[in-house]
Amino acid sequence: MEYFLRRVIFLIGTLWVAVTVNFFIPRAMPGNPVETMMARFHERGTMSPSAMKAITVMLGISHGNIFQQYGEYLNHVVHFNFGVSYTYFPYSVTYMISHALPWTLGLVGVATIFSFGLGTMFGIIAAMRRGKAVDGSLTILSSFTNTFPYFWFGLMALYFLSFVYHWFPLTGAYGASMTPNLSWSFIGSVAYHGFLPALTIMISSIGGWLLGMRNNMINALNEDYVLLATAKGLKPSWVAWMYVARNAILPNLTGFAMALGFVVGGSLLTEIVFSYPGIGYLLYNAVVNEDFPLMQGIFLIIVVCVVLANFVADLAYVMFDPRVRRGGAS
Amino acid sequence: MSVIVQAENVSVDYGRKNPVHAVRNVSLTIEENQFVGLVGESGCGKSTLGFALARLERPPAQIISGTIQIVGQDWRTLAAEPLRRARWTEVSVVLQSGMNALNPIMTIGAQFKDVMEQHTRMSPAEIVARAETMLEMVQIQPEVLGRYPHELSGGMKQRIAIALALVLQPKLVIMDEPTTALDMVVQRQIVENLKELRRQQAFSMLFISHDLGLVLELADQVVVMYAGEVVERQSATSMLDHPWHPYTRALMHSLPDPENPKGSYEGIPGTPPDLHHIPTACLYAPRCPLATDVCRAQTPPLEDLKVVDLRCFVTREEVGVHVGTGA
Repeated sequence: MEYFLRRVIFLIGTLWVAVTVNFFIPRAMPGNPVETMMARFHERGTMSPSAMKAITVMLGISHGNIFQQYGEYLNHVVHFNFGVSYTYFPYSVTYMISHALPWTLGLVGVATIFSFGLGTMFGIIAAMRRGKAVDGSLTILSSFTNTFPYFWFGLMALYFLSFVYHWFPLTGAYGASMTPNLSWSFIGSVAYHGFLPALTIMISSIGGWLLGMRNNMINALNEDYVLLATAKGLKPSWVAWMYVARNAILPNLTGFAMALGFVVGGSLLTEIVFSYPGIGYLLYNAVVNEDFPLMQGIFLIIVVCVVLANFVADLAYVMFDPRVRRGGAS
Repeated sequence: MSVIVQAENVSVDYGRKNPVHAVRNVSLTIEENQFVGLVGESGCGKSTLGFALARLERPPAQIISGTIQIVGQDWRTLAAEPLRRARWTEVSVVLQSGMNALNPIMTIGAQFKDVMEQHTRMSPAEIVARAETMLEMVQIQPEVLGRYPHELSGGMKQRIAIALALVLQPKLVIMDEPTTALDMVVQRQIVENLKELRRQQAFSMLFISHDLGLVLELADQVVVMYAGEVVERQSATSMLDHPWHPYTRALMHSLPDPENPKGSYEGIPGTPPDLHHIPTACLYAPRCPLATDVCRAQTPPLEDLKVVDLRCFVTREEVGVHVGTGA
């Protein structure tokens, strides 16, 4: 219980630091949103100082000193009010994020879970058959996919499978003629549109899980308790799972929880390549347009999710590793 | 007495290219309820032999020849599944570092349970009762069944490992340096425990150790190995009176004498030979104070001299005199 309490205090502290840093970083960047917007309007003609003032007011840019701004910001954050997006005016930042987040969670989340599950499974298989053909081909293949750039794979898949052969759609998360609902045809369309981006993410990340799990497994296989398990005449599948894999997976769990936290950040390049309407794509547009409120909102969501994922990882680790459980409580 | 283990001419190599001939043509017989001690310095092949007998050799080690008959079955040619079923019910092991021999993420109880579940048809209640009885035999509280290995001391873990080894009442327990990683006090407790266990449950034991004193105390018969070969084999009581091989004598002299703590005890000069290439000579000759020209030119055979099995050209003459005079 004390362990849990300490973790919660630590969580709150981390969140405060993240929120504060998130406030100062955009303000340290050069440029000014009003000037950006004006520059855009300049292309169509000149703009009067009163119009500039109107834009400033409209965007809700505060004129207080930095501390007043900070106080206001904290108050807004607590109420999930991140202001109005400069780029997607008049939509609020909260609205934009809440419309992009489900797509990212679905695409990157599912891809990450599958990639971890499959990678870990293949890692176990490779380690149990180490030195054999299965192990060799899995290891070489994953070393290869692990090193090549995933956006390049995405571009190739998009060019050949979508553009040349028309097997898959070129852009979007669902058919252009559809409206989001819970019908089978819509879900089918989402799966169809999500297949290539998900495949790209999985191919680029599965190798890491596989190699990591294989290494941990091989270390665990050399432990005395595995030798003893063999001597005990336990069934090979029981030894492989309870004695080797259960111990080998522990270091990977932390990595997996971290990866789940980063899911919210989206897969920037994948979403750009496939024009997928997720958080990564939104963040890209926010940065290009110097949309401070949107950037801040997205950064905040990412940070909060990563910190929360860490927190959950800590708690999960306690469940899986008895050494942390009692050790942490004492 | 029936024979539990009959190993003939077992040889074990490490590696395929330029192999190390770690164990060469070792024959070993262990009878019912007999405690056999296997002694020698690090790298003499004693653990390699012990693991090979239990078919626990790990690559790059491989058994290249010999037969291993254990309770009527040839363990060297036994298929995987029958071998798995014979494990622990016939031969169990206790490893050197009891600390690492228990799975850190399973409770002690679970580690007793899985082996009983997979080898017997005992009910859950019987399994718990049996595990508690075993712990009692090594003087450990039954509550420990709910604990994890990291919550226990090294001595407790080693006693649990011994209890675990005896849980299915195996014919043979192979103990590989079971007390080496423990301090003297705990070591003593374990030795007393083993003696007590022997009175309570019938089993044979192969006790592997570099500590000749300990082996002489525990074992009925002592086998001394040097550089992958047996150099001497005789009963513990007669070895105490007459160690014949110069190497055994040197091991004896390296033990401190408790009655004369300031007395001299010596190390053995030199190092064991490289086992990549086995020369035609006595392998101990370079370190032996009694070595003659014959020792450096021919390989002495292991001879059965009635009172002792001995591999030495020089001291075999002494054995002859000893037996002849009836002393």
